[in-house]
Amino acid sequence: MELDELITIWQANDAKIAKAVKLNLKTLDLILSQKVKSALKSLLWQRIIELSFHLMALILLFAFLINNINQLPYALSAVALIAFYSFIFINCLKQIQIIIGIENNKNIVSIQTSLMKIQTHLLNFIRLSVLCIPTFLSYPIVVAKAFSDLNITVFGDFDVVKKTNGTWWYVEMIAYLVLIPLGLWFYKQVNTKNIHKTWVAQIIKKSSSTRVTKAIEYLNELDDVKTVAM
Amino acid sequence: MTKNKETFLQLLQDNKGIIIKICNSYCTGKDDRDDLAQEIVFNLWKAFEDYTPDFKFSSWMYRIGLNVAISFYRKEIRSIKFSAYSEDLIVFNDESENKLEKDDRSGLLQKFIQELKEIDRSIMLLYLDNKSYAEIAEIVGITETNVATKISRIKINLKSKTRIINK
Repeated sequence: MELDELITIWQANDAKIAKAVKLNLKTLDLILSQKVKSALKSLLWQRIIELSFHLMALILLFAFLINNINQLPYALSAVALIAFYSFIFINCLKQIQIIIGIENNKNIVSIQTSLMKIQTHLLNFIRLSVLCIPTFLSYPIVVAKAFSDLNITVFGDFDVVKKTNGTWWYVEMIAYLVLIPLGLWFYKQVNTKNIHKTWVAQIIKKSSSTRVTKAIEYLNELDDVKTVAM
Repeated sequence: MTKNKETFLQLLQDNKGIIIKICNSYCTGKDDRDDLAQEIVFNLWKAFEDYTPDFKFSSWMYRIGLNVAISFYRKEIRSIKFSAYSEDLIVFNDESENKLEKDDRSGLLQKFIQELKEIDRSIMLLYLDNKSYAEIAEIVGITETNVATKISRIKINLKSKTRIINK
């Protein structure tokens, strides 16, 4: 049997099926009257809340920076934290943009790509967690100084820079110099395009769910669909 | 709103074949097929407010239907609780279900289509529905050249499969 013949039979059968079936009006009415809480809407709210926290942190950090602009250890620590929060703020904003852009009446590849990008959001957390390691040394400096600036003495005076005669700050700077390039390298390497690398695949597999791995594979498949050539 | 609903129902009845084709291509079990049909209808209704007659209704329906079907197939999104309805959405007139299922040859092609990857399945479905390459490209979101390449590859694949069966 030839393929064309098979296709003709299939199309004829298709027409027969369309004639033979009907849509149950009772069920149809129930579906149309159903109020459903959209999964994407609740996800959007989650991201908006997340974004608000990052924005709040950025505002406070900028205020701190302006207040301590002439004191290098505090100012630089604040700049480091601002850079980190700006990074996650932009990431979060991109996610919101993707969620808002999802409408089923758009083309298949773009919708499926957006859905998969949402699924792989967890991967961004893993990449950002590594990137933010050196910032853990900046938090004590900024928080302690902010408390001191605001005259909050309930925790006592624990200005880390003063207490350690600046050693903490030197360690912080060394950590930044060493760990930031490493963190950026990790951030660049651990992405959906590099899933073919065994170590990247292992990291993704061990740190996230199978769902994320499958989403990454599908994302790459969608990329292939877009670039298929003669 | 009532008028809108009537228009929607009329358009849905006129194009119900599209829903059935999509469901048959992305699901194998009867229950799954009906669940997917319900999910598609629900999403079509949700998006109907934004539908403009500038687009062909069938193309608009294919876009939404195929997007929902792929997500449903990959178990990403399910909006409605299917168990809520005691009656199926798709019902066969009288005995026609039994008569139709006896056609093995179209079942064979159906099986081939179900074996294709999600996006290829969409392309094949649109191709079988006599959509032009330009329309397929617009619905799927790839270039016409890519559509042509994909279809020729799928055809080669299908031809080799039919040859094996014919032997």
